[in-house]
This record gives sequence, C-alpha cells and structure tokens, in this order.
Amino acid sequence: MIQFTLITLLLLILIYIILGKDSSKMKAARKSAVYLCVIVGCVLVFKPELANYIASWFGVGRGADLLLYITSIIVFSFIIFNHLQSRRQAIREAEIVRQLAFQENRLADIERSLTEANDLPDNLDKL
Amino acid sequence: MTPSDKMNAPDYIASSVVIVPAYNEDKIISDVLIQLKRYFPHIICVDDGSDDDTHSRAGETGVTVLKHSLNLGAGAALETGIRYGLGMNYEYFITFDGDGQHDPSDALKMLGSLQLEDVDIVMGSRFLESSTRVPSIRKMILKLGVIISRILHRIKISDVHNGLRVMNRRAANCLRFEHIDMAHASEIYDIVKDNNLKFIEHPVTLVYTSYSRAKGQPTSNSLNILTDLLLNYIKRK
Repeated sequence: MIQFTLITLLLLILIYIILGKDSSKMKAARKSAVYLCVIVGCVLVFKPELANYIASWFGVGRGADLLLYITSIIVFSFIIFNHLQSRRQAIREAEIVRQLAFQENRLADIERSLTEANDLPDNLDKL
Repeated sequence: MTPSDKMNAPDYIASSVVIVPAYNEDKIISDVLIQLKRYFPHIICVDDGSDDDTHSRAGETGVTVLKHSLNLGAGAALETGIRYGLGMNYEYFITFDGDGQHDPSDALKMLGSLQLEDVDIVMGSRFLESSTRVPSIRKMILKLGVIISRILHRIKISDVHNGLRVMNRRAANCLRFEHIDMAHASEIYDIVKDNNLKFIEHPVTLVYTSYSRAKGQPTSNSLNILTDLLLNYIKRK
C-alpha cells in the first residue's frame, strides 16, 4: 500500500511539474528536480547500499528495483514534457505561417488592383 | 433550397463564408469549389502547404485562396480561414472538407437551421437519419469516439470528426485551437462546453469514394488523437 501511495504521490508531483504553466517558478522547479536527480545519482554511486535502505523504507525489495521504477517515471515524464513542448512550439509556428498567409493575400490583392489600374488606360485607348 | 433559388437567396447566405481546408487535393478541389459556388457566393480555400497544384487549381475557380507555406494540419488551416473570415466581417461560417465528401446542399440546410434555431453551432452528423454508408471499421471507431467524447467532454453527440459545421460569429470567435492537427475536431467539443455555446446536430450525407477513403485519416491516427485528448483532459483538470 505504501508503495502505491508513494509512487502515486511522485507521479502527481511530476504531472504538476510537467503540465504546469511555463512560469519562471515552474522552470525553477523543473531545474531543481534535475539537480536533485543528479545529486542523488552521485551519492548512490559512492553509497550504493543507501539505495537498498531507501528502497526498504519505500517498501520496495531492492534498491536496484526502486531506481528502475524512478527511472521509468522520469523517462515517461520526459516524453510527455517533450510532447507538450513540441505542441506549444507547433502552435507558435502555425501563427507565423498564418500571418504570412494573410500578408501574401494582402500583397496579391494590392498587386491585382495595381495591375487593373495599369490596364485601364490601355483599355480606354482601345475604346 | 436548390441552386436556382440563389437569385432570391436570403441575406444570410450573402453574409456567410465557406472555409475549405485542402492539402494535396489538386485532383478534386476544383470540382468541390465549383459545386460550392453554385450555392454560396463567398468561399475561402486554405491550401495547407500542399506539394501539388492545389493552390493554382483552387485559384482558377475564382475563390479566395490562402496558402500556408508549411503543412500544419487541418485544425490550423481551419483557424486560418475562420480568422480571415472574421476579419472580413462575415456573420456565418461554414466548414467544409476539401476531399469532396460533403454535399453543399447539406451545408445550405444547416445554415437554414442556424437561422431557425436559437443555437451557435449546427454540427453535421452522418448517423442521424442519413443515407451514409459508413465503412464498418470506420463506423466502429467513430462510435467509440462518440463514447469517449461523451466521457471526456460530457457532451451528447451522435458523430465525431465530421468536418461539416455551420456557426455564427460568436462561435467562430471562440475557435482557437490548441490541436492544430485532426484532433481539433474533438477539441471543438471542449470549446463548445467552455464557452457555453448552444449546438444542435443536423443529418448530413457523406460520400465515401475510393479517393476520399485514400485521402482520409488512417485508422491508426485515432490512437494519436486519443493520446492528445487524454493529455489535454489531464492538463485541463
């Protein structure tokens, strides 16, 4: 039960960090999470037995298993985060392309009216 | 109403605009636009970065053509057309697929319904008293889509991803898509709900030709759309 609760809590925190607005606070929270992972990783390199201790505290059998679970969650979160980022980027890109289409249409209109205006004297001559 | 009635066309037809997003439709786009021109005076075709001659074919018919320099997706093309139409002060907006699946007379009937009913959007449905023969796999996916939409969007509909819709200016103003691809068709239900837009469904007939089947979204795309919708649902919660 404790495993389920803690993993759910961890997932909720990650979803909050990933899906939250792109404010400076949220960016700082993401960076803090990365720094924390690096620090924990470095500590575990020197003190691998610590992973077993933390794992037993979480109710997970081995430290290696706990690391695997956490890595899976981080990788999964990273994929979602990147997916959402690329979607936000696509919306910005769409706006640029859209404005370009409007501008091109305006230019074509101006060109058309100029051509018509230039054609007018010739037509009058013919008449 | 038949095309011959166009002479006495009510004002609402004159103040309406048809938005036709098109991507690599050079084989059929002229026919679609010429058919539409028999019913509606104002048409905007949005060429969504086609690699073929869609742009020039559409231009030859005399309708307004906007061109995306990149292929963005159906949602983005639709929004481009709608925003252009809003800028041109049209009152009614009709969204119509460029692959020849829709019948312009259905669009006209839906525009009539919008005038009669106190609603903001009339959505086409191929499953309401219509003679559309939907291929069985597509029917199954669409029905699943209806169930999912009812759960996620809490909205009672009989069809999903039907590109034929008619809306007033108020509804058109609300259409700002976060999903610029095909998932926009599901996102519309969120927009309808969030903005308290009133809507009804109207039976329409869809023609499934070998061309439209080949051009239509592949069945596998439904998984992509579902993933995006679920993520969006979590984000909104």
